[in-house]
Amino acid sequence: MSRPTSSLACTCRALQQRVRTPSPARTSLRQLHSSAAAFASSKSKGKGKQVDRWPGWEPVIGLELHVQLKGNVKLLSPARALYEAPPNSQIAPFDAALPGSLPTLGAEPVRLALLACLALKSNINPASTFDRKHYFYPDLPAGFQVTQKYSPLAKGGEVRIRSEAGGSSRAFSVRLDQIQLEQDTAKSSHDPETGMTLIDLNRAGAALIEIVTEPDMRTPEEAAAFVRALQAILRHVGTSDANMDRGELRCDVNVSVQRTAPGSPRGTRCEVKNLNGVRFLQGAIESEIARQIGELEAGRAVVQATRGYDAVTGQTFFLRGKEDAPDYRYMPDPELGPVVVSEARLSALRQALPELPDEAFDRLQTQYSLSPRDAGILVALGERMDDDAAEGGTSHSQAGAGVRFFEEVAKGREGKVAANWVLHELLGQLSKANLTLINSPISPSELGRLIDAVTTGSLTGTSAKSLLRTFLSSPPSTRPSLDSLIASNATTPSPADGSADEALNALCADVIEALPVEAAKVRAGQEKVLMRMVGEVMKRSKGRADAKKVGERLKELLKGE
Amino acid sequence: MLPRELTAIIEAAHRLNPRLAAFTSLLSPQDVALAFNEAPRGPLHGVPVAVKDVFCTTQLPTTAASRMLRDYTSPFDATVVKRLREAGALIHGKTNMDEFGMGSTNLNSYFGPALNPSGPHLAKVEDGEARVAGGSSGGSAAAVAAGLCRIALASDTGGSTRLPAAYCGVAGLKPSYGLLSRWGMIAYASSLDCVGIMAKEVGDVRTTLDVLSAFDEKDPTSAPQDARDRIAEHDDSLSPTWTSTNLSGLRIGVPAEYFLAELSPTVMPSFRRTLESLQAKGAILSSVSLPSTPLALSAYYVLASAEASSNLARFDGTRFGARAVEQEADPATRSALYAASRSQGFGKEVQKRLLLGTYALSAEAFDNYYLQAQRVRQLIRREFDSIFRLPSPLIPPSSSTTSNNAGVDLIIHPSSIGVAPRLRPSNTTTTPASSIASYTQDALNVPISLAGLPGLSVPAGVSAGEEDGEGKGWPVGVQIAGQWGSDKLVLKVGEAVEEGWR
Repeated sequence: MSRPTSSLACTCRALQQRVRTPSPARTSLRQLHSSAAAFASSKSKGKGKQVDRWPGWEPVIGLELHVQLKGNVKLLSPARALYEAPPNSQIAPFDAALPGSLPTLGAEPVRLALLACLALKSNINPASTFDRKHYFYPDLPAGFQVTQKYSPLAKGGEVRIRSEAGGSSRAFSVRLDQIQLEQDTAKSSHDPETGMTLIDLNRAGAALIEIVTEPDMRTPEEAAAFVRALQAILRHVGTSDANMDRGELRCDVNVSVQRTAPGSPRGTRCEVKNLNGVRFLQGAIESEIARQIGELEAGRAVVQATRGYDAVTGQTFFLRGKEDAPDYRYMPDPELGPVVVSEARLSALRQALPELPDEAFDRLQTQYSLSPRDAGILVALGERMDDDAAEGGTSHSQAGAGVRFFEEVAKGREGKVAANWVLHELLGQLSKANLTLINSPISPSELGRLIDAVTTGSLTGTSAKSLLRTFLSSPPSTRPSLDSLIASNATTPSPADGSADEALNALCADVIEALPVEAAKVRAGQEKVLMRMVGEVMKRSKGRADAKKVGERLKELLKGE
Repeated sequence: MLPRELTAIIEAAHRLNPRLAAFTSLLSPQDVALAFNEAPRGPLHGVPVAVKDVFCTTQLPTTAASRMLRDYTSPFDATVVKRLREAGALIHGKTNMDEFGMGSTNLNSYFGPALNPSGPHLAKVEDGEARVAGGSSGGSAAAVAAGLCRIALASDTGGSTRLPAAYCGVAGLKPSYGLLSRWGMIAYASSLDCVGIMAKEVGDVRTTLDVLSAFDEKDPTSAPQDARDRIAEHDDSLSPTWTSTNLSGLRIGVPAEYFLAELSPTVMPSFRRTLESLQAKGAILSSVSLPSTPLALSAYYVLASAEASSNLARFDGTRFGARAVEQEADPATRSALYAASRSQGFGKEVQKRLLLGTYALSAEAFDNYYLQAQRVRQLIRREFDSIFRLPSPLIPPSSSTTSNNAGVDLIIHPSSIGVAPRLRPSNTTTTPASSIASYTQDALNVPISLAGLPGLSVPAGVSAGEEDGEGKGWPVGVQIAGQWGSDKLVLKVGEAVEEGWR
């Protein structure tokens, strides 16, 4: 099965050449692009023609995601699940299920989870409840996990994705089934030397939200695009850092395939568990789709099962069948009361919620007439799009930084022009100077004045760009003020431009009239006084005139009288 | 130097424990002396308090009378233990109990049964006369009754404080659910478990209740401060003139459904005398009906066992507690290690209830057992609310809240269907302690547990004895129970019963 060149990949490459961004916020270029692509519209190219990857078959994909909450808070104990801490050093009595210990619901995990519910447009339950899910396993100290089965934190919700994902030009939404709070397990690892299972309880009881989607995705690329969009939202509102390789976002996927013929019944689904990276997710779905189609085309049935994914072979493998599915003996938790969320609290949280990427994306297009792609890049700026977090987790999301910068530049100016300067000039130059928008030495208002200089004709586009380069590449200690750079680079109206010429003449004549004493002194041969008159012209031209030309013109006028 | 009285108690505890098995562990007299020197001068200064072995203590082991925890010492003190220490109490021993609180006789203890010291003669095990102390807090009741402590902490899930208190002839309070912190009390059935208090005299129970009753942020089921404030309002709204000698206008209901066919006639004379003495003090008696009472026992066993199967899942031999030795458990399979550890670590009664609870929670049984039992529980709660004069302070008052002026303030009934059963049933005994009949001992106690109400068993005399003289002269208790939060009133009337009898 050949894989078509995706228009996503095209977009990325195109952007790569023009926009070089990253980063103290250490957003890698690849990540920025993928996110920009996730926001980019499907309008432009690659429309229509979708290569038929699975002739006669349509995959149906749903996800179940576990999100660890920011700050590694535990759900029911005061400890924190610190990632870097030595094993078994972050344990409250409840985390180890010590006899006599009791849970205490933390305020922070509830707040972070509610932010996610609002951002994902999920309907928040005014009084959700906790349940216990029972099974025996060494990484589950109490023998049960506290979760929310019968009355979850929130129901429904939606994530819109405008991806040109994987050759499909389909813009789509992924509906959410529910969002629930629950406890993480401890970490167990096998010690091959002793044959023992080692348990680290630091993570035991860490707060998670589980997000279950409806089966609304059709390709591995759509699933990947959804995960990236979800990561962006979770980071944007501060619910989670959502790094997959750190286990902050974990993913199980349900895959089935059905005939494309109308009215075909749903296929039997298989679940692939524990996918800890977007590329593993894609690989697992790809492999599972191929496997299921293979079974069906060979006349065999797909058997409902839970499967694992081997990243080395790129294949899924059988874990357990339906008949081995455990009975979790769910029971309403007899100790924890309901999570009561008042309307007042919800509206306070709504107020605190930053504008969501999706909303900003729409607004930038309608308010400033930006192209979807430009809007997409602006929205993605400052979001951390890394799902590898190779930088060690020191970076912080600067949610909405790109949009804020752009909007300040665009204040009182043409939106498209402002976007061009920010996206196509500033970002590129910043990148060359190894800087980012977050720590840009040029402020939005300074960039605005530079744009004005070009708009009014006192700077040519070319000289403005080179000025910007000079400004950004000079070391901070010797960096001149941008305004003085603009002034000294301002051109007098070119001779070819009659009206500009006349404007300069008029300006000079005005100054001669306004400064008769000085004019007389110059006429009397006191050349030094001329500079004072040049200065006045420069002042009146707001620095846009060419000082040398002004001097010559003044002389001409004074002599000509 | 310890005061002579304290020294005598500590000495007696060490001397008599081998026979009574009231304690699972005792502090040495030297350690008691040390604790005495450091004890704060609080309301319980220097008072020897025995603590049921279900409460976590850092100083002595905490075993829940189970082989599973025989070597376990907790890294923290239970909140009630901490509060006792801060009040100056000397915790000199941990008391025997049915394993994890499961039982009514104290026969289900890894340490053997606690004996009832309160009979007409000093009973010996060998001659078949020995009777059980009751359960599950048998050790606490026996220790109080034998004078081996002045106050004892017990626990009560479905009668575990009130039943042994009745059998041993001491006062035993199960406070309103949520009033006393459960932090550090090993959970059996979380929605029912209460910290219990035992003493010879009701006054000591009240002092202890005052020391222990406080909101605890470590316990999610701790009654919040606003509910506690409403209790105080209710106490004020009730006639403040009521004393243990004047109960003029107090309305006491006698629930008809509590007089079961199994109720032994030997306890009735004491019960009747109690009613007469309360009437003589001005109390108004009436018959009340709680028609769901017969459903309570089965609902209780479903819910308690279900919660137990969940709460006791943590005892798997991996982090703490007994682990099956290698040759008995195939180390290659984790589940075999769990099964072997749990089979060895838990006694028969615990295993029985865990299996029952596990079944009640299984997908096929959940609706018919667990949910059905929850509905019964709701029914029982509503019935109690309908008979009491005041509404529950747990529910914030609204415009629709009205007091039921025709309602009663308290209910009263015998604490148990008979006196303490024999430890080893003779041929003639009708209530063998270990038979299925022992479950019916709880029938009078579980409705109050399901509703979360305060219940006090207070001594009301000794049994009249059957025609053949069987069971004559053993303690009889009556139970006084009230609306949630009416603990103070319950204790006040308990004192009246106490005075009426003595």
